[in-house]
Amino acid sequence: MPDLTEGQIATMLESQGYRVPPADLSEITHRLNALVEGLKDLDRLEANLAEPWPTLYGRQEPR
Amino acid sequence: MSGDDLAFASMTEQAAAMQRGELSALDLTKLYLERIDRLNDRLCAYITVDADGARQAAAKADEERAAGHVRSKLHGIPVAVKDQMLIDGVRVTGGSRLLEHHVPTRDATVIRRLKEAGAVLLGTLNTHEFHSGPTSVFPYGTPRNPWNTERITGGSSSGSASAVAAGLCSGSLGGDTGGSIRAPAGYCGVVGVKPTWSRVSRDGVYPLAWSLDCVGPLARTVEDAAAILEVVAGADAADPTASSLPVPAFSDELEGGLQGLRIGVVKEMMDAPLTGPEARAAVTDAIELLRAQGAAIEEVSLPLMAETRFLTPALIMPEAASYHRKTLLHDYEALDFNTRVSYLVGALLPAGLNSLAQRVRVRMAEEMLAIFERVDLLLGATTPHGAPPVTEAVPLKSKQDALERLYGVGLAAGQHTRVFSNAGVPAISVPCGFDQDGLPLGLHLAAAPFRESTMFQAAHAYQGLTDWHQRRPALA
Repeated sequence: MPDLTEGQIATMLESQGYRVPPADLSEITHRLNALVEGLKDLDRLEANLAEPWPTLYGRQEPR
Repeated sequence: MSGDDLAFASMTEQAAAMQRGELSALDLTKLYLERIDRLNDRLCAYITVDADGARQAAAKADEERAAGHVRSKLHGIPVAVKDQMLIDGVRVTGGSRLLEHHVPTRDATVIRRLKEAGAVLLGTLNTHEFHSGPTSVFPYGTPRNPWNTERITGGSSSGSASAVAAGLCSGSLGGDTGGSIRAPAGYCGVVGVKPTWSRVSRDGVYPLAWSLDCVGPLARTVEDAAAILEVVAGADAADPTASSLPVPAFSDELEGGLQGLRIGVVKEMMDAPLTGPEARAAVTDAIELLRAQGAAIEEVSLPLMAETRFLTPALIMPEAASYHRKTLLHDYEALDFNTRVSYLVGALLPAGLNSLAQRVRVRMAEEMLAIFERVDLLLGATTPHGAPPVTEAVPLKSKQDALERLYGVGLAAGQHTRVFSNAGVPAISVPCGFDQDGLPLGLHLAAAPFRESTMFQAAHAYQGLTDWHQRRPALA
């Protein structure tokens, strides 16, 4: 799958109201593309077997 | 005891000396203030020192003790806290230039509890900006490791570990989202505890990621850390996530020993590339010691552990981006480079991938809880190796560069600690040796939710068999 370009990243940021200098844009682009690539690999884990809630032990008795 | 011996004595020893009338809280406070004055320029452990407030609190503690009123084991004990927790009348910056002049008008719940326990607050301790690390520039000075000032302390509870290791306080509080107490504790050769998620109130504590953030103690001994945790833990109406479960008197329940304790050695925490040879050797020695004392050792596996290198940023950064959205919109360039780009990556991460990460986090927790059905503790190294050198951040050149330098397997200290954060379970780092460069190494133990007592018992027994925690850095 293609990576996001700096231009696309800038547009996505602007759509949320963010404006960033060019050096930041480059860094954000590299980091986001790397993170998305790594996360896509998690598809192999059958994650839908679990609900996405945080580890709320607060009201539970110890196991 | 000499001044240095006193500065490095355990809280328990200091409290006993006070009870015998051989030491006053005010004298101990003055000793730490003198040491801070002498060493802090080199270590940058403290951001703000409240010398007047500390002397006043110490004098009051002495008056109360003389009148027969001793509030707790922390009565008259000088402690310091990560610059993340609100203190009435004391500057609290979150490690950021943006809050350089921020003086809160109330105490965080954990601060109130420390004061009610009679502890003396020395000041606030250095941290990555808004605790997200690694920060490119520390506005209040780059924290230095007391064992070698060319090495990092780890973070984000950088000053919390450094100050304890250098004898600049008796104990401290830190914050741990993915390892921010345990990794600095490992690098600096002190005890660091991440309690069960929800065990300690986060009221009045600047957040990084609400679903992972924990407040916990750092100290020179397990007993001291247990004493601090029992003071700050417990239900809190101001934090609806704080557990209502009773808080054991952890420091009174330390003598369980190791006989019959079932310990699972996490294969992935011992193997390369996640653990280097020196850390592996030190932890292996610790395992043999535990086995010799009657612990039943078996190897276990957490296959999802390696996924934390992508998973944890995908959990933390969207939460941080949402909390800091107004700052990102209106004060963007006042934030440190790494802080702001990390948060914006979180702001742009597709919601579907964030949700996927949350599901995998639950799988990770389920995987671990299943193992806790047959073992009492999980064990491994705290960090892959001793503390790395202090370096300047270099901008990334490409996605591949990011994959290798930011998310590479075995790079981050957090790859050992995050798995327990994601599962919400309690974990502790205790000193277990030194590498060839004389840098401390940490033994990492984790327990099932709310089983801190088991963790403390094993760690305390280990400290009784070793003297790693009694060694002092030459600087101090």
